Amino acid sequence: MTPILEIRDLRIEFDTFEGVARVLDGIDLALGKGDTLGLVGETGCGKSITAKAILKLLPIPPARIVSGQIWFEEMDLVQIPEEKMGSIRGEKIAMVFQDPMTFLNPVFTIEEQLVDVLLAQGNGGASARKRSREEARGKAVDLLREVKIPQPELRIKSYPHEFSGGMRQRVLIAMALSKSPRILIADEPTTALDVTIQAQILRLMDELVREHGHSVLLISHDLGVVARVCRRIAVMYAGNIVENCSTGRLFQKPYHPYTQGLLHSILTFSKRRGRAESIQGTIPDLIHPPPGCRFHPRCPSAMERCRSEKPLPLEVEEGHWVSCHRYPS
Amino acid sequence: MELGAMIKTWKEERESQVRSLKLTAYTLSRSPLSVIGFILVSLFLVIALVGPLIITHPEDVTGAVHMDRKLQPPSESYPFGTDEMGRDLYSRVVMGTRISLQIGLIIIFVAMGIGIPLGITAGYVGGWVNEIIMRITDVFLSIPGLLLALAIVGALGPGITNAMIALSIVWWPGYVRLVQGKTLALREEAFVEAAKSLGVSRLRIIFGHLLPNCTSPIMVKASMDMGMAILFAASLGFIGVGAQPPEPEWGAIISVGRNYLPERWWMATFPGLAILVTVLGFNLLGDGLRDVLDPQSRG
Amino acid sequence: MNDILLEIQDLKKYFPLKKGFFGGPQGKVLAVDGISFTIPRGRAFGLVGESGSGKTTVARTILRLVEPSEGRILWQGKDICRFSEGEMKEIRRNMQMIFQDPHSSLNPRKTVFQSVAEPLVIHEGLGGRKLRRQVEELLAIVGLKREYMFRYPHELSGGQKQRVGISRALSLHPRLLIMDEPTSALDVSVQAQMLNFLESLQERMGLTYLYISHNLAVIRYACDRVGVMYLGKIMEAGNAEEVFAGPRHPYTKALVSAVPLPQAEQPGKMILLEGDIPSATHIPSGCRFHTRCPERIGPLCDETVPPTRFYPDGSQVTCHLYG
Repeated sequence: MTPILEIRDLRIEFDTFEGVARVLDGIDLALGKGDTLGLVGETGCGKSITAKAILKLLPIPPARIVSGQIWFEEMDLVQIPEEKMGSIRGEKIAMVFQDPMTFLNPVFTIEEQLVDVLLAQGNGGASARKRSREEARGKAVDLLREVKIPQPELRIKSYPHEFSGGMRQRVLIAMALSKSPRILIADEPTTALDVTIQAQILRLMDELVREHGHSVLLISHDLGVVARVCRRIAVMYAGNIVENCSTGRLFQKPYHPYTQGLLHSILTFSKRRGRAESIQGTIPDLIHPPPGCRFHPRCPSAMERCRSEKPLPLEVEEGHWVSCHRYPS
Repeated sequence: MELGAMIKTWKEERESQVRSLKLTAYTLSRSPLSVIGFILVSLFLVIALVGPLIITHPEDVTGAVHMDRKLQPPSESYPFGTDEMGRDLYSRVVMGTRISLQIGLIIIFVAMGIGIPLGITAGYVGGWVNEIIMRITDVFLSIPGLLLALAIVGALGPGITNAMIALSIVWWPGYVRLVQGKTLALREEAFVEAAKSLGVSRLRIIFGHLLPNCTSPIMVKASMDMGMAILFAASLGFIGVGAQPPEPEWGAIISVGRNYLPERWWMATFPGLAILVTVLGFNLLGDGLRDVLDPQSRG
Repeated sequence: MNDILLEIQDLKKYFPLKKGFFGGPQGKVLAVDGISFTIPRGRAFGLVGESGSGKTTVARTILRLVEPSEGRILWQGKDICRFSEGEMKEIRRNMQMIFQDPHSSLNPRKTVFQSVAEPLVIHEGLGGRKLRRQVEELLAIVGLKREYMFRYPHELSGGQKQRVGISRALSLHPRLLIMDEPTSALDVSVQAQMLNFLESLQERMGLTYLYISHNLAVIRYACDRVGVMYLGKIMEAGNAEEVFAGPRHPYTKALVSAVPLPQAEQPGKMILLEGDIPSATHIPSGCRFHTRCPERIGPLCDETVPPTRFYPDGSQVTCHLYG
């Protein structure tokens, strides 16, 4: 089955004061139709950049797509011109960001902002149908109801600051789903929320996705969040995808030393109260990354080969991909 | 051994500062306009400094009269031509640079000297002290600068000193507002709370923590203000209430030169160009500095 | 009892809401509404709660960065609420805080050396070589090498900044360290490292800790005892492991079940609470949790403030289910 979104060997560089940072080092990622894929990694691993690259939201310059392809609906998003992206953003691929307050305009009511989104037309495409304002208002209320905001007809007249963090995030989700996109990208959607509110939002996302069959790419540094929502997980480290498999597999049988180290080092809120051991060393400098496998300086099982040759993804078990020299082809 | 260690320490301490400077220079150099601004301002400063060394007719700068040479167009011996008293315009414009620099610096420093302490006090102490200071500041800010300066000079009498007094009075409220706002914001920062919890005295917090963090916006404002202050001083000179003849102040020169337009264009044009280039330079530099210093986007 | 380093008795902090230039206070924000707990010497106590719980306000009130409205703060038996600024200066040497955001807790214009040296200069009048040596030692304790001494904060990572903050706090040899979200600005793989380091520091220097966090994993990992706060009150308190393994209060149960675990099988069902956390300006009547409580009994919960029940092992719960 062809994936709905496929990234092939994407390489992205950033110009900085100290030099050129090679932030994405040739990543391959495929999102299946109706699937929920989690992209996890720590600061600087490139997960947010990947998401923004898909929607071409990166500032170019200082960013630069060096090579690679992003296949969606038989188009390479890397190649298509900006004008065509307009009909994709928000319509076919929608994004939910981390901090809802910065993405909602404080001087307009929720209603006005939702109606704006609904009435906005991509350049061509299915939503070229004109909608009247009345129709859009009605649809906006329906959207709020779908994201479980109580008394939507009343609340829709509020301003963003009158909403709590959780409610604002629901509005953002409503906006993202308003055009029935095929793909929903969520970049740390619950990181800024309280734990009990996070639980509500995660449950909501789960239900909506099940009901409407969107394909979801969820980005988070929190393995717990990703475990709850996603069926597959891809682990990123310093611009590479090091492991990609089903959620169950990742926790039960991680192959890559980084994944293993990560699982051992994170604090888990569970009955087991052992001591967590952190991975020695630090995240590499992306301007002068280590040669070969970028993880090798910190890897407890590094070999000679790792210092010079970059490992390529290998399917060690069905549906389980690892980029590591320990697993020969 | 002792000296060696001391030098080593001194070098270490300066390392970070050197790095910061390099980063500032790099970021500035990225913007061609800022580089232009920097060059223009440097030119201005250099000319002001070495003025006496590069002029051709020092006696013409103040007072000399050569009616036989009056109103001659630019030529080899008089690159900018001569004015209505036969004085070499080039020498006068060059020395005018010095005057402008002095005026600008004095105005800015006096304004800062009054404005910054008031601003910090208002921001840090708050309450009714803040209200009083800010409302007075508002009153001054509500009157257009040049008008206010004119009124003050009108009351004090014409002359370069009075012009400087008047302009300093026009300028200080801007600094109060800037510093008060920044202080208000800084007051809530964690490092100020940390200082309090470590037992740092109020005075030390103001001078050691708040003030140093205000320097960036102040520097940006000061460099923009230099250009404007020079422009305002020239305006007052042009009207006739600032520098008085025979001072070679640019505005004063234009004030006379405009009577000889358009045939004898050089007398108004060259000082005018000098003002243009100077103000442009400071504005571009100030803009560039603002992008560099605030926000601090590091790597 | 000399065992108890810090005891909080019925602490309250209200913030008045000003309306307009001439308006008087209109309503109050009841940030902390009657908190009591004790911290024995050498232990680690954690206050856990979500937004609006008041936990950060408690920390700042203890240090009197914010003045308490009511209640008593007993430091080694003495109520410091009534102390003057001068007396507080002495007490402040004993209690220090590690602030939440390492990026803003250091003065961006001061080098690491200057930030750490400042308290030493003020309180002990150190200077020159002695000062440098002290600062070097303090930095070594937190594992920062000499080369970082003259760096500016923007040249350091989040974890390093955090360590500088700790080093600065340790400069006056405090007995109590209050840690406000010590790991929230750090990467996940480094969080445990920081907590391990803090634990070893505690042993080495005989410190007592008060942790403030919304992250249950952090509290469970690092604390002996815990207090669960909601809208300014403690709902449940006791031995950390017991409270989290077998929570009594419905809020604690919901909190515990809401934490997503990094494992394939998520145990049990997530208890979802209805609605949002109420604003601290409009605290619900009776039991303040009644608007969202899945185990609400009835009008009793809406109208009557529940009593606090104490257990022989030192734990407590404030809920009508246990009244």
